[in-house]
Amino acid sequence: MDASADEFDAFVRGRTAALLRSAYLLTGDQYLAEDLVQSALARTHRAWKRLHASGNAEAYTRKVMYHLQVSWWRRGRVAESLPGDLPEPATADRDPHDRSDLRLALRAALLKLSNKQRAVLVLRFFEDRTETEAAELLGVTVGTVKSQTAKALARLRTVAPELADLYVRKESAR
Amino acid sequence: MNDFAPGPLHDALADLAETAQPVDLRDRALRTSRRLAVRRSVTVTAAAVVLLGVTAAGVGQVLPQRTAPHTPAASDSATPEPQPSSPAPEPTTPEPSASSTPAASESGATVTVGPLYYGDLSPDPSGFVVSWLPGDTQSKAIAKLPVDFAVTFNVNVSPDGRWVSYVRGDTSALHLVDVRTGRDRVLREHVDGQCAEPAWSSDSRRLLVSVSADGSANARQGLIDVTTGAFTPLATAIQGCHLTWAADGAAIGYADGNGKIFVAKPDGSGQRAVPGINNFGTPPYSGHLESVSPQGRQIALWLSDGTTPVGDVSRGLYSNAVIDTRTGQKVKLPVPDSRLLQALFRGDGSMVLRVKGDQHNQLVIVSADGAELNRWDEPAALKNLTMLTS
Repeated sequence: MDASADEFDAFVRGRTAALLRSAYLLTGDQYLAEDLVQSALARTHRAWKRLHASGNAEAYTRKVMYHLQVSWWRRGRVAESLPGDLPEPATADRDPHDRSDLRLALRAALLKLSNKQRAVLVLRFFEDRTETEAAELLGVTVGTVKSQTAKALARLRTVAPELADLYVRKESAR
Repeated sequence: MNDFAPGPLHDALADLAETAQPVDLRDRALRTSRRLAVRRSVTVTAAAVVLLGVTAAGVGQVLPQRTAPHTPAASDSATPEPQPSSPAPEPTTPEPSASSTPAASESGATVTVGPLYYGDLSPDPSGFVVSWLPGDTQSKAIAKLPVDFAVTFNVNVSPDGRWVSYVRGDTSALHLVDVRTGRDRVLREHVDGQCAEPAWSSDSRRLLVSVSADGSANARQGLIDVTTGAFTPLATAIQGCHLTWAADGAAIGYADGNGKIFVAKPDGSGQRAVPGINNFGTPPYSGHLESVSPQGRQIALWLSDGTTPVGDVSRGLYSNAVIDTRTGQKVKLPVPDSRLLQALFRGDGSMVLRVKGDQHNQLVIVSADGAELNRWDEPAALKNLTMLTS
């Protein structure tokens, strides 16, 4: 195996878990998440020589992942995967029943968003990307990121009022 | 900056994300990568391709072809990979119907084909769009596009060879490149370039597109007049990807994104599923429609038997089967399924089959009733490029 192949293997093994976490939020399903990450990694592999040299492999992989996800293709499959049992995460430290309910409610609410709204939420609130970074990754303008974020949060409030504690405004959060 | 505190929502998302189970995707990614390699790019060398500056007239001529067809059976090569085809466009005249290029008689008369167009749809694309007139020894680069994986998924060339269309991944803007002048202009914003690649009408005046101001979830399909930029929505909305015109413009086909292929009237009405093609998980199924015959009677597509990954939304311009859309039956072709790369219907019902070879691929023209009419060797420089469907 050549050095480039080794480096790609190391990249995959080092970053797949993190990519899967984002992909899970985007799809709401373990197998769809794996499918999505697999597709993105395959494209990264095809472009590995150039990406490795530029040092932008993960950014490229995530960009591909988000581009594939926000398209219409998976919408029906995501909806079909609802609802389902959620496995317990390995690190539960509070009341497992409350957390499980919260996860179920949040996943159900996320899947009621459009793919792009869900992508914006994951980028902004899970990956903590700036609006500019989110816009770059999604291939849209910063204005679109702002509007999609607002719509996504409004939609969440409508479809999951029981999660109101998650959407605390900054003033009241202080 | 939004006005919500990131803390609680971030924590809840992180907690939900932790339910994703770690999986080693290395082998699966490599297998998919090998499948993508079918469309692997090849550097367009100066020796094989005359760069830019090609006039429409130069691109559009229909030249006489080899008269003596090869034997259909054994091609003199063997290796490449799947890719797509595009309609054999007529030089300057539009109108689809049964004429683009006279599909010769079965008596062995010469059959000609207009220029074909190729793009580099690999994940690491060169950006070149190439024209080749079957029978010529060289291909010509007619445009150089931004090197952007999103662009390579959706580039198309108008049937008259005048325009190259593409949608930028970073702006979602639909661009038109005038092949004669090289001028690149934005025709419309907020156009989907992933699920519904802008597809040219046979008269090269309109593009079938999917437009959305706020994401593909609310996309609307319709026709854009390339002269005025006016958008006319289809009468009936379509829930699907990879919208493809029938070779005569009398129907459209699309993949529903769940494994089935549909055919509809050009205004989106009369949608019907092709029998025998099922949802993902129940083979056979398909996500990749390549070409539609006149009136939507047959389709060329990649039909999965369930042994290969479902894949993703990205464009899959390659075929392993031609199906009758009324019966669901496979149409017998004069080339082995295993060697078929792409299949492109023409306005007269004949097909251009792209067959793989070792050093170069071949194009086989097949009449509507399945007889081979002519065959050409492609230049080796095109071997790993993908023929584009307009």
